[in-house]
Amino acid sequence: MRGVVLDRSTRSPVPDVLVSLWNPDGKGDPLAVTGTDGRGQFDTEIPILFGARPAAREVDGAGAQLVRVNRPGDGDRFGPLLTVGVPGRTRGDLVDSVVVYVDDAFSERRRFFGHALDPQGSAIATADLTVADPGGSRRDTVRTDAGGWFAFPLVDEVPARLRLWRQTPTGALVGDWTAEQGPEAALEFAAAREFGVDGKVTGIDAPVAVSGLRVELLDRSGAWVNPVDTATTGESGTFTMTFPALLEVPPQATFALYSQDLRLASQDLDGAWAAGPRAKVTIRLGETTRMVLRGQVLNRSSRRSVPGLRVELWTAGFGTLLQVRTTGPDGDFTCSLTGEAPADVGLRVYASSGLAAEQAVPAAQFSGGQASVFVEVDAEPPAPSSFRVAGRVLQHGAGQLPPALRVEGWDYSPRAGGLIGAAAYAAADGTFEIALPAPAGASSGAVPQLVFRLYAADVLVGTTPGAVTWGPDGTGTAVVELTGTIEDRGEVVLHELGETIADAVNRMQGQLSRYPSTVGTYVVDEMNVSVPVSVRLDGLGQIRTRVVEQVPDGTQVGQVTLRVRPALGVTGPAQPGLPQPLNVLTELTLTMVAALNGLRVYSVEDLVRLAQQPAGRQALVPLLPGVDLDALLAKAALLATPVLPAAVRQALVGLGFASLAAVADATDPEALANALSARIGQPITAGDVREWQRRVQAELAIPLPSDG
Amino acid sequence: MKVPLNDFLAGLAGGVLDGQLGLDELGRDSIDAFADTGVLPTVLAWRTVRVELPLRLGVQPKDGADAVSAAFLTPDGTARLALSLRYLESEQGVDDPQPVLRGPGVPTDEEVAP
Repeated sequence: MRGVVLDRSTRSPVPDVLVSLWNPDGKGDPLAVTGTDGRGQFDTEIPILFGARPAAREVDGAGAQLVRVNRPGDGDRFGPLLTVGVPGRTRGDLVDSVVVYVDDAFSERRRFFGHALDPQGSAIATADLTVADPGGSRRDTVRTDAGGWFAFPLVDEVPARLRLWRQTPTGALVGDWTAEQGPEAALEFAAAREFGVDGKVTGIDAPVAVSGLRVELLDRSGAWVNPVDTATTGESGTFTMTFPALLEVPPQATFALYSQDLRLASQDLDGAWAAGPRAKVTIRLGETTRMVLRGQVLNRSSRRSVPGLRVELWTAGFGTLLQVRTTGPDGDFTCSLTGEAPADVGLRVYASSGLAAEQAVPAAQFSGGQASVFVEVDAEPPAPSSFRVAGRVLQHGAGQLPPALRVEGWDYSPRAGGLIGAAAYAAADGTFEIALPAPAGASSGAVPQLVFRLYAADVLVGTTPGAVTWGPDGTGTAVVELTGTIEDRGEVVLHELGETIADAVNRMQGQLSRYPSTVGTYVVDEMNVSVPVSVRLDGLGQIRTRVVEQVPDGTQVGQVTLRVRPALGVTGPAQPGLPQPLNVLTELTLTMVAALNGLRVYSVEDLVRLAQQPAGRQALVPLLPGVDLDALLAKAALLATPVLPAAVRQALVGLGFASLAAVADATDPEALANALSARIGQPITAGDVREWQRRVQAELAIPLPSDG
Repeated sequence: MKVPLNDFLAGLAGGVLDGQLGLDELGRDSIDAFADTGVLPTVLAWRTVRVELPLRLGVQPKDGADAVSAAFLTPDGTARLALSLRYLESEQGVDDPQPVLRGPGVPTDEEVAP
């Protein structure tokens, strides 16, 4: 026999596969085995086994011969790729030019191709077809292309028969594919036959019609998709069902009755369609008893619930498998049964290692149709592959959290390879979620011992052991409370940032002044600082800035550029001296000073600067209860005025002057000079006082257009 | 590694000054050696120094009226600091030589007519 092995879809030769010849029934040893060459061709002799009459007879006779193609090394794992019939010839003849097509020779999946045609012979284009074997054990969906062609992958042996159907608005169309038609069959679809049910639901004690109940037709064989059909009983308790005969075998009918979600009864009906396409059924309510079996699977030693286990419900003596459930997060399961009376049942619980427990539940354990059981197993709850913590950061005292707050969770439990941590940025409301991989080989009950570290603008602002409430599946929740005043960490008012840079430049210029001026001098020509910042407006109308570095993607940050350039040769105002602390204002209590300090108002100058803004002035009112704000700010303006030396300002306040206007209006410069001299300890003349008064009046004067 | 901004700038200024003082010393040596060697004395000066570097700027907020919020620097950040220093020579040949002050960016006489 000579031939070639080709891939069906590409028509390319398939090299290096084994070609074996077998008896037509495929049993026994292969008659011959050969391999394809690089061009997919094979050439073998079929031995005449005189001792083995069946093989010889088939070869000699006019029957068929089986050719199987396997990949080397596949063995029985994948089975034969294809079985084809070869016309038999007489003894000694050459069987030549055998072409063997294999599907998906270069992958592990094969497919058959088909051409779907409707009853009129037209192609069924771009439609979903359901494919099932006659037993219904396999079911899949394929989609036809624009020409009605489709391909269906096969993973097992090529089945002898497949049924395809298509649901249309006018009814179902079915078509059958058989192995005899070959793998490239044209399938004509025809309208499916119909099965029907004419039924009635009555009460138990009297044949009273029961209306408004939902009836489900279920198939116990598993071939049909459940529910096969549903209906609702009418006024007379009757219902009808009509459904296409998509499978040749009618369903093994079980009728289930529901009121809302409550299953009231079920009734099996075997051979319902034996007499014809329409079955007749009468369901009597109350003939069945509903039994509910609730259970929980616990670990024998730890008493912890074990989720994710398979629970099988069997009839007594483990004869028939009734239901399969999987234990929930709390190891719980619920089985609902219907029957004529409570009966003995059995439970089997399976873990990954196999049967974990077997337990009988006697009928006597059901009370009112309900029973609860606990099943003990040695299996541990499955260890989660990762731990997830959903948490929230709260600021102690209801303060505002800073932007871009990074939360790091570090697992301090013993772990090979050292500590492991995970980080996330908290949202604006403080919520965060971090995930940690579970340590390899950890026991199922072990959870991370987390310590949270909080960073704002890369500054550690808090470390707190995490009180994580762990769930059964590796998820936990945590609340992390910050007790410090987080606002103070790295956040300053915008002018403070400018002050800081200016102060640094000033000090640098002072260092440069070391150079002897007789030769020359060095000056700061320009200093430019550009920093990313987060900016917010606080309750006093101050612009708060925080230098940020690492921010989550998509977070908006600002940029502050500070440029310092000297104005050489310009004489600036006299050094104003150190800012005056707020406690020089005797109207302010210690509590008020502390409150203002907490809002980054530290000095009289800060207070005056704040009061110059309407919003700031308004915000000060509730902060300073009982204080005459106008009088206070007038006094602060006197203390902060740059036109008087600081010592004079403080001395004036000490002498009872409460505003700039009071100083300007002082009528006796001589007496004031004496008082100031005594207070400051330096001779001050009336002329000095008059000059200061003139400066103050100029400060208070309203600029006029005529001033030029 | 955190470096206070003040220390960084002061160190930079001090480094430039020390370098210049060293150049001045060499210049004086060349003047002294002129009589022996006949080589024209040369005095060099750093005229402009420009530093530009990426860094990370942190701020330690102040906590009182008489304080100033402190800034500190760490490497590898996205902030930028650009700083330039300029040398202004003093007019020579006068009794009390003082630096000839020019505003930033104003070219020196040599830069106008080299």
